[in-house]
Amino acid sequence: MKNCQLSINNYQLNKTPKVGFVQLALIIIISRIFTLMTHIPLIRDGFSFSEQLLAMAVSSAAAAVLIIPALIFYGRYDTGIVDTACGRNRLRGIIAAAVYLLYLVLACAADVSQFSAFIGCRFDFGAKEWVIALILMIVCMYCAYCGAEGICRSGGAVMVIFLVMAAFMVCGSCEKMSAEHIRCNISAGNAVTAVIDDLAGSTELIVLVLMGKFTRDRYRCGAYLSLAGRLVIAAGITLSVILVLGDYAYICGYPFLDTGSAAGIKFLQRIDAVYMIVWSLAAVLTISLKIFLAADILRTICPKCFPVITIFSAAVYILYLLGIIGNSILMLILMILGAFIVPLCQLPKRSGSV
Amino acid sequence: MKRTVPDMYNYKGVKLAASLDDKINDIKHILNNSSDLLINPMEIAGVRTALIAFEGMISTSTTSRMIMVPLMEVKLPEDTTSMQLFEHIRDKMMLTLDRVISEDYGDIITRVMSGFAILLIDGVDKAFSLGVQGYETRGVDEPSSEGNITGAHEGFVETVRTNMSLVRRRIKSPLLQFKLFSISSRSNVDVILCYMADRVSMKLVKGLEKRLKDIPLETILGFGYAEPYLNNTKLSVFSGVSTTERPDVMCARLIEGRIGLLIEGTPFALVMPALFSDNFHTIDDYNFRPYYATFIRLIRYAAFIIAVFLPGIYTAAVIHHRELIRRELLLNLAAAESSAPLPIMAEALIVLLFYQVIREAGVRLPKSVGGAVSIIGGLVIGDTAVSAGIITDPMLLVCAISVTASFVIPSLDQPVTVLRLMSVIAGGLMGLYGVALIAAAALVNICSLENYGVPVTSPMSPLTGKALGDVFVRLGFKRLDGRNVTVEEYNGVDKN
Repeated sequence: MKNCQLSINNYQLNKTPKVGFVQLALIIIISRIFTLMTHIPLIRDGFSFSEQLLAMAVSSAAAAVLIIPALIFYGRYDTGIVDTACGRNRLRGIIAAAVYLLYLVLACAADVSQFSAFIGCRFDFGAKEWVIALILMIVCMYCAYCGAEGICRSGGAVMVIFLVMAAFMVCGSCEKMSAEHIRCNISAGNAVTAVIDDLAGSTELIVLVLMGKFTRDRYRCGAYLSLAGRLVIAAGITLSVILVLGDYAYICGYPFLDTGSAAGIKFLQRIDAVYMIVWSLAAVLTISLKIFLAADILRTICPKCFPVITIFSAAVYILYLLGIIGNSILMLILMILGAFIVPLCQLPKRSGSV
Repeated sequence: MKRTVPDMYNYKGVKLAASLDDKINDIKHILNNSSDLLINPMEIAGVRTALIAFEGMISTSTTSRMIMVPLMEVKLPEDTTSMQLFEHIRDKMMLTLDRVISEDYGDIITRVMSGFAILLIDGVDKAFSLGVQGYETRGVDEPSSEGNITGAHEGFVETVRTNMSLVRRRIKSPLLQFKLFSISSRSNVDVILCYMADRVSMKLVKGLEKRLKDIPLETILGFGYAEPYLNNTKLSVFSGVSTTERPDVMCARLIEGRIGLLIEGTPFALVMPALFSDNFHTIDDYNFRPYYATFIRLIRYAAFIIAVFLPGIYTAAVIHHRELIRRELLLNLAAAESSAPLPIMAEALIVLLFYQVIREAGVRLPKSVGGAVSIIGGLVIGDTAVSAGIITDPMLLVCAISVTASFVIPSLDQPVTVLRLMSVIAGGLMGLYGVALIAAAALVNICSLENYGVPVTSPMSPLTGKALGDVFVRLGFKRLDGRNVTVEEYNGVDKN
């Protein structure tokens, strides 16, 4: 059986995982949902609803432009960006890998930090934050080991659960909504800052660029679908939060959670604990996918290094313990490098795969 | 040239001797003079012959009627040679429908142990293997593990050829193929691969055959022996290979492009690749009206969620998320739990583990005392434990609902049991956060499973719209008709 050369064995052991473009869009949207459920950056920074809406739209358009080199790249190549860079020049490949790995490790550390702080703050299990984070990392490592297909296919189920939860929340808090809470003033300076903030917080953009390698077909369609989807979701969440909480949304720590707390259904006193289930699912999928992508990059530049998932996860956890999560300027620079510059540099002088 | 004398370790592939005495001595030597070996010498048209069989494996009446009487009545000249007799029997006498000419001791030994009678002729290095099986077998009966109301009440039995006929009767098509061969080094168990030739890749069939023949086990006594070698999924509580005791279910799976495996000695057939949604389908769904079938199917999906997560969610809510529960209910729960000596998580684990003990006792006990188990376990211990205050009513109720829900989907009993215990521990230690982590890990795990290129969560994820009419809902046959969805469509499997 060990020497079986048939295609079924080869297919299972050596194949590159491939996901559909709808699954790609769903997982990107879920990554966005995870960020928004933690804290809505634009609300935290005090922008008015109009400024937030404008910022989301403009940053989505900017993101659509940023990923153009990646779209062209995947239209021509079947392999990944780092794979192509390594194929041309080892140093080039290491530099490209370093950009993505640095971004992913900082993004993951930030996600873990936010998640464990939220859980530790709002729900008292008698466990320390580092224990919560460690358990989260173990589960995410296991999910990353399961592969991109498992993570992306799970996205559909999580999205359904989220939509059901959101419907309950909206229905449960209908009575508390008020259009008077919406402020429509726009200031040019604020709008620009809001756009930059929103773009800097879009960690799923790098995930979108790296997932091109694992998308079966219609990657371009999936990419634009995910950008459109995240815009709609973000606008919807922000609108519902402001309608329910009003000015309180600008000072509370977790606006979406507090919106859930305000909602109540006949058989449940409060549904913020239900919200936590959805948020946990989104957190696991988001972090697992980043770990998987980072592990794939590590495997590309260091093929003989086997426990790549463990190594990367350990790095994330150490950064989390040290409190190193990267500031928004650094993340923005890395994001522009990873989403735009690096794919642009890999575009061929001639067509065809490597 | 010196003749190779076979023994019990080295007999496969050894050609038959020509001399009748040598053949008989060789067979006795291989079988170590086993007491159940019957050797009947006789003379036919002046030629020495012998009929060999195992006692209890053949039908004596069939042997007498179809073999011995016709042979005794053979009218050939007295100077007939051995080869002439052989050719006469081969060309002009049927004897039995299942008749094979064997040339080596390996084939003869395998066949005589499968209920064949072997006719040896002096001077001929070939023998006739005549199928006159008459060993005791269980009759076709209602399947014990897959109950139903409106479907057929026939189930597979331990005899693989009977099972083959049960499938053949239901699919009268030349496209239904059976591939019979023996596996396992010591016991030479007969297995049959069943598939529809126009729906399955031959590459896959050959690959499966090679996998089965490469199984290193000495014996295959049940489907569980072969399943790990056919299951591509690893580190998962869910399996990529399903089992069924029903021929009608097997036929439905074959039509969908899957491959079935019948194993001698077990009434359970293996079907691969398996889909997760198969666990929620029963044959009754296709006999009920669509609206009712859909309702019942949704009940099964809900039962799975309840079976796995209810105890964990209850434990988590009562310990860590009391604000989730309405005040009136919370007061009742608090009153009940206040008198319990054990922590809630320990209480839940004890009740669930105790249920497993009762269940195992119920399965293993002889039928004559089996009824006593339900009385002792359910009424005496359960009621007494609550009266004594060791466990509380709400916990017992929650666990009972969860356990009852798991009976709705018996094929998922193993993963449900494990996941339920994990969710109780996670819920007790970390509340709904822990339950959510377990749910996430289980969800990603099952979504990542693939067997023979087909994702286990098909057609839900990846989404195949055409097939969704028979997953969560059951559309009417007029709407399902013509869709002809097979598992090949869930993956680009090359037919060639």
